[in-house]
Amino acid sequence: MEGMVELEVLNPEGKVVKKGKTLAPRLETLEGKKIGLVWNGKPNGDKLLIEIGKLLKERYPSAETVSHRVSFSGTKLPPGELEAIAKDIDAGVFTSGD
Amino acid sequence: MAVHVSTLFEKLGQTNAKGLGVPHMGMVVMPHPLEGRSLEEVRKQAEDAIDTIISKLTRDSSEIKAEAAGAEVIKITGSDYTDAYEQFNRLYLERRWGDGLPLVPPTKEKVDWMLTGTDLSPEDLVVDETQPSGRPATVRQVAINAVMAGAIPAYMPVIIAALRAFDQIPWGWGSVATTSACAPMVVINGPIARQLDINSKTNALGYGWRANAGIGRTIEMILHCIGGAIPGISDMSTLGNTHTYTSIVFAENQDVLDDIGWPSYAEEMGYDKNANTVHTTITMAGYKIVFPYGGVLDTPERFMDNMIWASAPVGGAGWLRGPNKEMSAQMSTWVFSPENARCFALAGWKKYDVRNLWAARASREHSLPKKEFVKKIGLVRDSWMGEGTCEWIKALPDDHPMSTWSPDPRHTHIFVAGGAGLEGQFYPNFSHESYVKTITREIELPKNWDEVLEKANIVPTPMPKLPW
Repeated sequence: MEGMVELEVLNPEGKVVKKGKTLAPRLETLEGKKIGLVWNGKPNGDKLLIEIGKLLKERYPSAETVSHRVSFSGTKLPPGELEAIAKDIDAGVFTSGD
Repeated sequence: MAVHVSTLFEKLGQTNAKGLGVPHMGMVVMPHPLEGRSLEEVRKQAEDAIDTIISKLTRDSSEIKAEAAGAEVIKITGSDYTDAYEQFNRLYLERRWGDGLPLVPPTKEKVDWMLTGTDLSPEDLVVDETQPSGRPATVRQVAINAVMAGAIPAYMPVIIAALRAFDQIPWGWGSVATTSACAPMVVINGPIARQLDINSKTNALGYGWRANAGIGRTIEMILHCIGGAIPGISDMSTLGNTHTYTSIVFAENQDVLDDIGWPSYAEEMGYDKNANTVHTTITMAGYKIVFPYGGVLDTPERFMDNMIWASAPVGGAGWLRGPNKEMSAQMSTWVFSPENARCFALAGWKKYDVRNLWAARASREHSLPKKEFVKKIGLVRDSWMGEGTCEWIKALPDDHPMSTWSPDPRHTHIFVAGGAGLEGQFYPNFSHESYVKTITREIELPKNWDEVLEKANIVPTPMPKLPW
């Protein structure tokens, strides 16, 4: 392009992270499973999870619900915290945001 | 796994999921806000969502596409340089890269120049995983952002140390996504402050110095561009904070510290006076300390009274739910003006005397009997976590005094900066001492630091001397 000025600039974001993670396989049913209700500490999130727990128990009487709370409502939990919760449950319902 | 987010936080949830490397994470979006709704309304929301929740737990979902890799080099064309520069700014700002103000184009030449300020490899990691994007911050990416922010190579050692300290704050990255109006505070001690002309005197926390602004704007640029904090998408600050253009970057006023015989913050932390150090924390907006209406500020006791009054409005801002289900109280940061510090020092008070007395008085005087405190703060909830957290509080007598201010003087931080006048500032930290700490790191200089400084050719900004 005659007369045009070209400027080459670098992308400030950085390379996209490819961690190779995949979601855990979905459960075929919640019957007999241990479902974690994991609260991020935000107002009413705990009450919402209690109600969800009740509804899950109505639909799947043999399912067990267990309550957890993460230490931060923000990002980047301390190492090992999420892993410890994951070990305790078959599936989890987490609250996030406000 | 099904994650609940409210409507306005949906994009933040998606950004976090991408950052965690699982962009297909099942997500159920609730009408915002959840706070303030009655139990009946919360129950209705649960009923409305339960089918979707079960579906997310039992069926694969792939509605969120993985983030495509962006081009590393971007070509901009314009009819002339002015037009190309405008096109560059338009494109970058449309992509939400930056703070809204014009940027310096990060050409390869400029980035190579910026990299001369460090002897780290361009591929070395400054932060292995920023949040919420999950991207690593390499030295090269830091340099690109430093160019965009108008920094110079000699600032790189401070920027790298400040960013590494920020990454060590437990809730540092959380602070860029929160609804609160907070900003990083970065304080520098040591000879490097003078070498780089980092302002420590009049208007130290304000505008006018390339070092304060360039270092701070780079940090902010990195939070946006690498970390992925974008207002309304992943930075949910309700009002925002003007300090998020350049963070709060300043040096302690060493002349005054020498004059009054107080240790620098670095010395309090056990570092040598000649060590180059950076102290990074997260604060809320500053408050005026002194209210001299009809009063005379001639004694440290009077000044301490002002510190107590200044902290009253935020006495309830601390969070009481610690990560280990323990009491965890609000931190405070004070930036004393030289005259504030002299008021104490001339009466024989040491820095730790001030910290000790303030922490003791604030936690006592801004307290309520437990029964009233619990009622006002809503500490004892009618759900499992509240009860679990607060068993030990329930065991206390009803008249036991409780405060959100930490009685521990280690949670009170004092810096001395600024010029003439009584107008020091009080900066309540963002949240409590378990979430937000003040992290000190030594600034690592490249082997050729003298050469870097010589090339920078920094001319100190002339400043009036204080009259003592």
